[in-house]
Amino acid sequence: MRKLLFFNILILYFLNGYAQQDFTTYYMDALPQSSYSNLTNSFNGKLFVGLPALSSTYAMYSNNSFAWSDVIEKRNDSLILGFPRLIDNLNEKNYMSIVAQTDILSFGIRIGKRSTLLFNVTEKASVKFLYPRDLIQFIDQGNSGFNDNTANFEGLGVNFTHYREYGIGLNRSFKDDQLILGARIKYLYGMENVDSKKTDISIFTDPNTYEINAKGDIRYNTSGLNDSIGDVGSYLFGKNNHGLGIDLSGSYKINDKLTINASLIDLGFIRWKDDVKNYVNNGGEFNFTGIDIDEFILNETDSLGNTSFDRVIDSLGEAFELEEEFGSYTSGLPARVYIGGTYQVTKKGMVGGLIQTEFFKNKINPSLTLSYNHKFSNLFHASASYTVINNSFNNLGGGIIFHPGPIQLYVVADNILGAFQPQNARHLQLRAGINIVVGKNKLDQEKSSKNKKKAEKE
Amino acid sequence: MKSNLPVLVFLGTILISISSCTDDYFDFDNFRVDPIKPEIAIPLINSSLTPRDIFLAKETSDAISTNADGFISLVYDKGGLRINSSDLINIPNQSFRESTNLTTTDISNLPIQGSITKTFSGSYNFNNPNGIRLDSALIKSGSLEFNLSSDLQHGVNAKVTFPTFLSNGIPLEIDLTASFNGTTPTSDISLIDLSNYTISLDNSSGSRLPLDYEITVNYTGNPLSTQDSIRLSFKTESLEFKSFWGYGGQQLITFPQDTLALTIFKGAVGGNFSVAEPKLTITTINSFGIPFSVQFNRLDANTINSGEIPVQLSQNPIFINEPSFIGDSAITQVILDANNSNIAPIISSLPKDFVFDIVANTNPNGNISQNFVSDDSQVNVNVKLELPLQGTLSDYVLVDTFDFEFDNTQLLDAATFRTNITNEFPVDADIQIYFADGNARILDSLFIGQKKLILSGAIDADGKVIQPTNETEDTDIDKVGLTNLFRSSKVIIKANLSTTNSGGTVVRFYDNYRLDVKLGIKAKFNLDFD
Repeated sequence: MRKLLFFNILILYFLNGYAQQDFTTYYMDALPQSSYSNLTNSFNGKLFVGLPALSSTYAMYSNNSFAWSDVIEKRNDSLILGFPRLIDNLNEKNYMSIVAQTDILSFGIRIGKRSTLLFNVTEKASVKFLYPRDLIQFIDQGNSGFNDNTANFEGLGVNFTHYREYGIGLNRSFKDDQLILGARIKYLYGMENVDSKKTDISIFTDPNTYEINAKGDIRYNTSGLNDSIGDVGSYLFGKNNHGLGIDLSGSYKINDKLTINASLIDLGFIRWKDDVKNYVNNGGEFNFTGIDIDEFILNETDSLGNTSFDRVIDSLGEAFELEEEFGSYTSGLPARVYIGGTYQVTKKGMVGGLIQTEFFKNKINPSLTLSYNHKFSNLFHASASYTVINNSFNNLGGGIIFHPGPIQLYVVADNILGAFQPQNARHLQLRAGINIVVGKNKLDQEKSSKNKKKAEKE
Repeated sequence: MKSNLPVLVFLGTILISISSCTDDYFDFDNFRVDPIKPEIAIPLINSSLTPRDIFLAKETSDAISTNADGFISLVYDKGGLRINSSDLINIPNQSFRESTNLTTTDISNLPIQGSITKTFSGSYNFNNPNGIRLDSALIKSGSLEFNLSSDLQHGVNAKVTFPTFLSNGIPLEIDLTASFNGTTPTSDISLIDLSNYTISLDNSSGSRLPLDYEITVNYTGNPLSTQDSIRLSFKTESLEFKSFWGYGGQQLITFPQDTLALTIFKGAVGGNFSVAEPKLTITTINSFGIPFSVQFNRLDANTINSGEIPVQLSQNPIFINEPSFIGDSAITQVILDANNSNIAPIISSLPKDFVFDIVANTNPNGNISQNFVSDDSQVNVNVKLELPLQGTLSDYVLVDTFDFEFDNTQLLDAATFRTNITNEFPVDADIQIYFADGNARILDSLFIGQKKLILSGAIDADGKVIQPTNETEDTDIDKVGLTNLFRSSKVIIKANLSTTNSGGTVVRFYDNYRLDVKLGIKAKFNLDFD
């Protein structure tokens, strides 16, 4: 019974996962880009160069509440979005995320027999939106349809970040490859950001007088949204928004077949100083009780052409107006933790299990992935995965690496079915690109020789 | 495992083929959003109305007076009827001229004596208008210009003395010299500032200004002729006084017709209203040392219930007292109340205004005493109506129309207006609100019949409210009603007011009464995104 309870809790924990990345890629060690989530991975060559702008294109959409088909009703030839249906599919707190990344430049080189140096310049953009069900209910039903007359927007948050990452990483094996440690340090160049720091808002509507009282701390920080881009050079390289980040990974081979590993990715921040505007209420309450009767019945329109209702709405807007400030601020990256293990079932086949958790706005968002990787030959690697995420069980992932000569083509998706039936997907992810990897045979020879020596020793 | 690759690829292809079906879920040409019907509830009006807000028009200077325990009276005041000293007494400019010639004796003596002196003493008529008599005046400003002119080819000196123009008790003396330098006429001029001089006239036989002068001719050897004259002239310019003693004459001052408007009955169309002690007070404050009379040629009330009603005055004209010394003022009041006039029935007839036409007379009894006037002397006439708010009101119907533009939104399906009124006044109000077009044609009404939105506060035995009432009313308006609402451009509010117990109980109004009016709307929108 306890086991069943534990299992149920575990399942619920993973069902609430939000915006995870690189589940399938994580154990595809032949792929240089797998090091973005697992730095203990080294590509299968002496040197790799990512083709500029082609080596890695990454896109991810994640929604923890609904798939498109959950909220869209087909009536005859029409696709109908109905708010009641949408609300029925929402959790109390909901999350939607879109991430896009592309490598501008990347390369890696093996140093000696135990180390690999990695370098990347990656353009990254993401939108993450946390919203309570009450927000959508507020839009659909207005402010008068809530139990206890309070619309609770606790947890409402948004983060939009566009930045460029300059990363340099190194991994090194120890104890005859039993232990591998890797680290990447990243300089972050911020371009645009919207970041909500506090948005725990509740709106109470007095049922007798309709007076509105809103409580909650609000702080929206923005950078780069107010001024025009202007000089392209300054936009691309001259902004005064700087940050740092690190990735850490480690793996430990328990025996020839079993390896455990962990990664901490995107632990970092950006300090935004350029073109900053903050919208805050400084903890103040908002109250709107109506306007004075004389102001309301002022003849027809006032000097500004406003009618009585305009004046009410203006006054309402003023009551809820946020103060503007211009102070620099810091936004954190949504850090991710991966913990997992692999088991070498055959010489070419390996199963893996992976728990990933993202930390965003003080919330922990987990997922669980089971994968199988198979190296059919030096020419072709394939991976299959199954992920439980976003209350969704239909995430069958897969990836292939086609490696003719020095060219390495790859495509990886965490939800293959979602790629073909996106209407049913809550999580879509795709990473694809072309790398040039050289020294593959030499590396194989070295590995083979190493294994041979090891076998002789044993 | 190698042999399994084709199978895997095959199975994968089949799987993908089967599942590669978006079922047109992304055919956005056919994408629609179902209409949503949010109900937005917001407050529109939140006002706490004081007696001042309710009884007084914003644009007037009408006031509410409050006694020690907060009981209030409405006070309608009309001042501004004023007589200034310059309206009554002015010193006109005066001018005098004198001329003399040498006699043959003078011509004979002058070469021998070298100089001769001629002396004169007399007085000149001082002109006063409007029967005014100037006995004396302390001059605030103004000047005296004295001019000597001579045809003689000899030097001429003149010494002029005004014995009644005193400064610190010393008479005004002027010396003038006209020297011969080869051309004639010769002349000299002197301009004297008469500020702070006290001037007096000899009024024993008309108003006369005493003047003494002597003229000296100094021989130069040039020819002499009896035809050559010596001329003296002087004039006063812009004399203004600080104080005046004399007689102001019998002057008639006419004021333009004026009106005392009563905003309390603005918009009323009828009803019964009574207050316990209405009082109309006519007050004059006189700082002239001149007796006046004030005559009301007209003092009428324009009432809603009975048309024009003349106000019965206990005395007309009203004789205005004068102060006994300069700088003082005398107050004369005539109070019209329920005991000595018809002011009470006039108030019950709902007067919109009082129209009055006044003339004032100085010295109505003639020249029986010396008058005095200072430059800041005034007579102010003030008409004040006081309505202590203790009484009754019944079937008092008030109609007000104002322009009102509604935002014509087709997105609204229905609306509920909620009034939440907390009333501390001892007044019930049945209200109807009409929506009318630009020609005041009624299109619709908010309520079916009149609705009692305001309930009188509970009163004690003295008629004072001791407990407010709270009344919440919802009024639903459907789509048809909203359409009429949006077509309208005027709102007509009709209110039927009565004090507690339908006007059957005398009530009192205090300055701590409040009428808290909250109006909110719950608007049911229909947002169709097509």
